[in-house]
Amino acid sequence: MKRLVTSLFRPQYMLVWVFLAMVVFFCIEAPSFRSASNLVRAVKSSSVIAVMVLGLTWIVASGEIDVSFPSVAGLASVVTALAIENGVPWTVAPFIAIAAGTVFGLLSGFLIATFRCPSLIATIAIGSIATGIACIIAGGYAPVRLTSTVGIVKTLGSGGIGVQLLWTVIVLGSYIAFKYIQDHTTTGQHLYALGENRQASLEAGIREKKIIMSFFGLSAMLASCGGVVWVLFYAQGVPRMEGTVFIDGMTAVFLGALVIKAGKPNVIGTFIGAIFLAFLTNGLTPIGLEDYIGSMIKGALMIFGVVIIAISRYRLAKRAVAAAR
Amino acid sequence: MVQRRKDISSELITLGVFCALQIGIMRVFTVLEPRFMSVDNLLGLLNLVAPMALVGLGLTFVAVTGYADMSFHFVSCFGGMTMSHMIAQGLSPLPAILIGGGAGAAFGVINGVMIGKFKLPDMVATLGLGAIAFGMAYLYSGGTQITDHFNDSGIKLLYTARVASIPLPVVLTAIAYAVGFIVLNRSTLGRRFYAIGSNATAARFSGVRVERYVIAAFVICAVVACLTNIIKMSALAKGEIEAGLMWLMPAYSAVFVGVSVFKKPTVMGTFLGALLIGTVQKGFLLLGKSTYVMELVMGVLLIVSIVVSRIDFKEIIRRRRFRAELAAGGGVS
Repeated sequence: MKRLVTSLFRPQYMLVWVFLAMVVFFCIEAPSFRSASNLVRAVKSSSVIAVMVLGLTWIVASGEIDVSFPSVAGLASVVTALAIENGVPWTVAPFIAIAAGTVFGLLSGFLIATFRCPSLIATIAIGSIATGIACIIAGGYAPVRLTSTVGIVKTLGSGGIGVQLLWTVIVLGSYIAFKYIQDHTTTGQHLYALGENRQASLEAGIREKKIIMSFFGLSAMLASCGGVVWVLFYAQGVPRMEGTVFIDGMTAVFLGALVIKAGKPNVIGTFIGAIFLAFLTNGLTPIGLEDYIGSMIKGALMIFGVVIIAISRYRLAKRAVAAAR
Repeated sequence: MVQRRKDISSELITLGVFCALQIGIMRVFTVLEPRFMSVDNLLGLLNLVAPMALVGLGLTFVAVTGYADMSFHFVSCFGGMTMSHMIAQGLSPLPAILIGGGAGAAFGVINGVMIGKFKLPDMVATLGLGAIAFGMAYLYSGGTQITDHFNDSGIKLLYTARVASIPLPVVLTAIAYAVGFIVLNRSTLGRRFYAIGSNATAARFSGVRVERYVIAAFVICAVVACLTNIIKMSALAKGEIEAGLMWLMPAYSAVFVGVSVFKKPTVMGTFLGALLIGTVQKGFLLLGKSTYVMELVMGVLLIVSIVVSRIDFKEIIRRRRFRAELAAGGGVS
């Protein structure tokens, strides 16, 4: 019994407890937080972010970084919105957008794998190209609004519970699939091997280039899926999705790294991180706090998480040294 | 010694290629639009390059020590809003600017302590602090613009004043670059920054107080970013929170176009990078393209410079000569 209690309170599960405490606090403090519409809103925004950063999780786990995901998502959302506006059927438009986004991901993967340039720089370059193109085709920084309300946008946007449930199931399903690949296949093994020691995994014969290329392609593809869903949910395409989307996405991944595999980004952790952030954002307004407090809390949580990881690593290293003696 | 000389000549070739590229780009734009070489346009070009070069200069210090800073653009939002708030409260420009820069310095110190002393991962820790700074930028006005006293306090002079007919921001940037060049390239201090970048442990055992230098690098980066954003706000004549967000990409682009020329972050390289990007952007603006092209240009140039820097020009020249010799001499026997 005692063992169970201590294992539940290990640092890996800290975030889950903080999350539960936060939800209970919001429920007690603000009655409007408990309403069904607020719950739907929170699930909606968390599922968009969750899809956007699903690929980013693996990139960070393999020791790289992708800062272009908001730009690629923005480009995809603008392409979808403009395509639908110009008469492309809504069943085709998303695929055009996702294909366009994936090209950018493959391009940054190519730069990183072939020219060995730091992933931060490559994705900054690709990101600014994507934002530039999005702004040019949208004709400005202003969002492209969908005027012709397509059936699907109406159903998804107004948040019919059935459609919402279906979408949530799709997101959950893809997360479970990714979890399976991550933990039960060689690709998953290679992914963490790359993050642990690049040189060693190269010597062991892991095809680094192929994996890096496909991860960046995948990340961009999922980011564009997020952008497409953004259009379907909010009926507008946003050329510049920086600022909050960037902070939210990064926070979800880095907070998620705290859960399950202490210190390593993993998909289940990212999922919890995304839900956490969405509930945080949706809970602040009902209890009468401004949105910007949320940004501060997210930053503080990120630093707090990094400190916990650093402490647990330090302890592990100390224990290893003691064992060696 | 031989190895060193070889490095330098390879570097010179790359530098030559970049200068040729710069001159070539200016020629192309002059042919397309004769007004490109006019005094007005060249002054405008300097005005465009100056802030990019300035914010890049700060980031160069962090890049030299081998870390990444993902917070300076968020911090510059906070520094700029602090300055705007002080102006709105009726403070005169100089103290307001100093307080704005001081706010940036505080965040720089926290960054440096987190990364230099407690060895937290740089990207996550700076991003976290950046999110806090971005939230704090909203504290003054809750998200609305600050315009009080911007017209009558003289803060706009920071952008409009001219020294010997050269705009003040350009003069300030030139001074900052002179100081930056002397510190990083002509002083022991600079050698220590580079020593930390190439091997922090070795630097520590050689008696360099690594923590202090890392903190100094982050402070310089944050303060310079705040000053750049303050100049931008004085140009806009209002305090706008999201004005600072745009500095991330120009700074990294300038620094890394420079890195691809000199193979390491340098003051000269960052300036060349900013100049190259600014020239192309100004050219497109003059040709009547919309301002959205600017980001596209930045990304494309960054990729071009990465690709160019990976091409070994000396090797290509050597091979061509070898082939020519083969053709002339009829084989190597």
